[in-house]
Amino acid sequence: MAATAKKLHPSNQSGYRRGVPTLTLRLMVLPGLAMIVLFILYPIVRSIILSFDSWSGVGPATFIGLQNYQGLFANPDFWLSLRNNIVICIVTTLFSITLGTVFAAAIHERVPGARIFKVAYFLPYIIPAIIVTVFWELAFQPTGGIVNTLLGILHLGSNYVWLGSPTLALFVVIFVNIWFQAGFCMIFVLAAMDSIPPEIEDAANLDGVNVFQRFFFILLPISREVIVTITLLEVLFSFRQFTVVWGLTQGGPGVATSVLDVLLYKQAFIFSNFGTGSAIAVVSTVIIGLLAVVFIAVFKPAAITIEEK
Amino acid sequence: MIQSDTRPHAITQNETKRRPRRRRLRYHPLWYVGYAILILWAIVTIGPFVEMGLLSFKSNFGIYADPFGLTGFNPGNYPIAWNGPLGQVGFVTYFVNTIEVAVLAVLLGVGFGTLAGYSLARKGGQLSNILFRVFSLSLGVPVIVAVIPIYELLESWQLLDTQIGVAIVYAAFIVPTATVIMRSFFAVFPKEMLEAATLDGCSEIGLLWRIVLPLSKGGLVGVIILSLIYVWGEVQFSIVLLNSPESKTLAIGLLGFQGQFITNEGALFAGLAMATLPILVAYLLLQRNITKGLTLGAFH
Repeated sequence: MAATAKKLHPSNQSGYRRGVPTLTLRLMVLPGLAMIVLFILYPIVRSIILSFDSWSGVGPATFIGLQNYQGLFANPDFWLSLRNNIVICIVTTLFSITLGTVFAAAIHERVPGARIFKVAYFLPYIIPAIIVTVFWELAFQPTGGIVNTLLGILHLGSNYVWLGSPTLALFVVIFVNIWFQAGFCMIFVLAAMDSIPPEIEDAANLDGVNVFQRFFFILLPISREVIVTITLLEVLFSFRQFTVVWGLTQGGPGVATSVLDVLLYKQAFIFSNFGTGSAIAVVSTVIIGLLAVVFIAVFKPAAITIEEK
Repeated sequence: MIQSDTRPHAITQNETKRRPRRRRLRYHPLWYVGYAILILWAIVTIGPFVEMGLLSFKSNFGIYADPFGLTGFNPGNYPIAWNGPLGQVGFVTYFVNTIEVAVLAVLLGVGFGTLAGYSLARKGGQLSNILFRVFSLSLGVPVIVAVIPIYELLESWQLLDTQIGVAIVYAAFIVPTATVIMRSFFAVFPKEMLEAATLDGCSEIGLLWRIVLPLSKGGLVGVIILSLIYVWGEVQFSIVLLNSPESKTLAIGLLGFQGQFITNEGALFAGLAMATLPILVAYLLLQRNITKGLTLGAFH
C-alpha cells in the first residue's frame, strides 16, 4: 500500500501536506488548547494579579500593591518552608538519581531476577502517592508502627518518635520521596542503557572489560544526556511538594516540615488570605522557572520528551 | 522515510534483544554486596504493599501485637471500611465518586489530547510548532500557581464540590501530557499509508478513528492508564475543590479515613488496600504500555 501511494505521489510530504484538509486538522487542536488556556495559562496571569490584592475568598478583592510580598518575606515560616523545599529537592534528587542509575545498570547487566527488580522498583512510583503516604504515616507511628517494631526485632532500638521530631520528620519526608522517585529515574536511565547498540558492549567484553569499567566507561557516558535530563525533571518534580508532606505531617511538628505548597494551602484555604497565597504561588513558580532556565543553560540536556526540533 | 512495518517504531523498539547474561565477576565478594543491596531495595519497595495487604486482614490487637504474623485474623475490616463508620460516608462513596470523575476526566482529557496530538503531528509549519511549544510548556506549570484561580473559577461557575468541576480541571491537566505522548506516537506513522487512505476518500476524522488510533493502541492505553493513576491519587486540587464527605474522591477520602478510623487501624489498612488494588492490577497487566508512555512524556 505504501509503495502505491509513493508512486501516485512522487512529491514528498511537504507537497502532500498542502492537500490535507487544513481546516479540520486545525480545528482538532482547539478543544485541548481551550482547556489549557483556561485552566493552566489563565491561572498564571490571575495568580500574578491576585498576589497584589487583598482577598478573603468572598466579595471583591482590593489592590494593596506589594504588601503581600512584604508580609511574606518578613514571615519566618516562608523562609523555613522554602529551605525545606530546597533541602528536600536536593537530597531527593541526589539519592534518586544515584540509586536509579545504579539499579538501571544492574538490571541492564541482567543480574538474576532483573525483570522482577524492574517491576518492583518502579512500583512505588505507579501507586498514587497519597495511598502509600498514608501507609507510611501509620508505619512511622512511635507505638505500634511497623518501622519501630521492625527496628526492635533487629535490636536497633524501637522508640523513635519519627514524625514528632523536626529533624526525623524531615528525614522521613525525604525518605518517602526517594522511595517514590528512585524507580522513576531508573526507568528512564534503563531505557537509555538498553538502547546502546550491543556491538559496543560486545566489543568491550572481547577486550576483557570488567563490570565497573563497563559501568563507568560505557554505560554512564552513553546515557549521560538522559541522566542529565532526568535530573532536571527530578529537580522540578521534587521541588513541588504537597502530597507527601501533607499526608505524613501536614507540615508539622509545628512548621518544621512545612513547604511552599503546604504554606499556600494553609494561608489561602484555612486562613482565607488568598492574596498571600497567590504571592506564594508566584514566588514558587518563579523559582521553578529559574531552576529550569539555569539548569538548561548550564547542562544543555537533550530534550527527551521533544524529539523533533 | 519509508517504513515497511505499519506499527510506529516507538512500540517495536521496546522489544530490544535480550542480552546474554554475564558470568564474569559473579563470585566476586563485591558482587554479593551489590546484589544484597538490590534485594534490600526490592524488599523496601514491595514490603509496604505486602504489609498493607496483611494488616488489612488483622484486628487492632493483631496489628499491634504481631504486625508480621497472622495473629488476630479479621476479614471484617473490609465491610467496615467499605460502608464507613456508622452514620458516616464509607469507601464505597469515594470509590463511586472517583470512578465518575476518572471516566469524565479521561474521556475529555485523553480525547482532546489525542485530537490535538494528531493535528500537531500531521500538520507542519510555524503555527504547529508554536502550538506544540505551548502544550509542552504547560506540562511544566506547577499546580501551586493554578489552585487559587481555579478555585475562584469553579466558585463562580458554582461547580465547587461537584464531580464535574474536578473532572474538568483534571482533564485540563491531562491534555498536555496526552498531546505530547500521542503526538510522538503519531509522528512516526508512515505518511504514505495515511496518504493512500486520503486518496481513497477517507476523511481526517475517519482516518484517525479507523486507521491511526487502532494502530496506536499501545500508546493510547499507556496514556489512559497514566491519566487514571493521576486522577486516582490527585490531592492538591481535590482537597480544595471537594469539601463535603459525600463528594470526596478516594485520595482525600483516605485522608479523611485517617481521622475517622483513628481507633480502627485495620479498617484504614483495608481502605488503603482497596484503593491500591485496581492500580496494582492495571500496572502488572499493562506494565510495558505504562513505562513506554512515561518515557515519551513525563507526567505531572
